[in-house]
Order: sequence, then structure tokens, then C-alpha cells
Amino acid sequence: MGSASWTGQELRAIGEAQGWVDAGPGGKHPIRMQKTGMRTVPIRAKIQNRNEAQDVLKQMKIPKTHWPENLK
Amino acid sequence: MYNLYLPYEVSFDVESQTYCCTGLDRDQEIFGTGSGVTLELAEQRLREAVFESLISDASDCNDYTPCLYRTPKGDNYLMFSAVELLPIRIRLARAARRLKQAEVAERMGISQQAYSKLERSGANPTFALLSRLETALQQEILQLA
Repeated sequence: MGSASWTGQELRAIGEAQGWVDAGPGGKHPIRMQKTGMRTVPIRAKIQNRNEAQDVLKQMKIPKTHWPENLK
Repeated sequence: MYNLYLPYEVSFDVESQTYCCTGLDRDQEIFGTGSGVTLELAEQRLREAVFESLISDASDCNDYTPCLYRTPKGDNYLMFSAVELLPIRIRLARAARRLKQAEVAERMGISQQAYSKLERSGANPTFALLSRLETALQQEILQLA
């Protein structure tokens, strides 16, 4: 990952490694991550900033040990 | 009919010069996020994310609207009007009866394409159409909304 740029695809890959599944596009979101017992987490194609990327990972309850170094 | 509210926190990222709105549910867990070069755009994207989450989960009969507040909370909050939430109520009602869109459309006497608009953001059905929907689903949608 770049120092200040993240894509939805990168966050999707992190989620998939933790058991989340991409349900495909919905509305304005090309990615919708789903996991049993959890709310759907829609992800945009381009992540605008660090906080948005962190919010997505927090919603998926991804442990910080699995976060990219430049997001910790 | 009642509105629902989602408080959110605002942050500004100096590096990208963009705002980020982080929605918080009744348990103070993050519910949706949206960013943009203006605060208005970030709010709009948060709204789209929360709606997409709610409508997606409604397909599986999961109703997460109780995670939102019944009254405004804090200084910054999104309001989801009862009308905005209608597509979610409709999808929840259909999913609970394990019916496909085409089946409900047939019962209502409309096309599947026309029906699918009822379950999309921005749907604004007439009273008459809602009445036919309630008959088709045998449920009072307006009362739920």
C-alpha cells in the first residue's frame, strides 16, 4: 500500500483473510463485505483518507495486528 | 411513521485535505463511514453507506434499524426520514415472507422492474401503490415505517 492512498480492493483483501465475503456491488459501492452476525460493510472503490480506511477495518473488527503498517 | 437518527464524528485529514464522517450506533460502535473534499460530500457518502448496509442486510431478514436513534443525538447527526427508510421496510417485509420481487410484483399487478424501484434509495411510492403492496404482502408497511 502507498503511504497515503488505499483502495477498496486492498481493504477487501484484508477482510477476506479474516473470513469476510464480498457480496458484490450495491448502490454506489463496488464492494459489500458480509459476515454472519455482522452488519454489511460497503466499501467505495477509492478510499479518500486514513480515517475512512481505519473506519472500514474497525467495522469489520479486523485486529490491528492485521492492519497495514501505514494505517496503525 | 418515525424518523431515525445517526450521530457522527467529523475528522479532517490534513494530508489529503478531506473530511471523514464516522457514524456511531447506539452501542457507540462504528456504523458507516464517508469521506469527501467537503463536509457535505462526506455526510452524503456516510448516508449512502448506512443505507446500503441496511438495505443489504434487509435481504437476509436482518433489521439493523434499531441500531439508530429515535431522537437526535449530539451536535452532528444524520436524519433518515420515514420515507427514506421505506425501501428497507419493504424489503424486510418481503424477505420475511420469503418472496421474490417478481412474485410480489405479480400480486400487485406491476412489472418486476417497477417493483424493484420500491426497494431502492429514493423510492417515493404513491399511497395507492403502497396500499396494493400491503395487500400483496399482507402487512401494514406504513405502520412499520
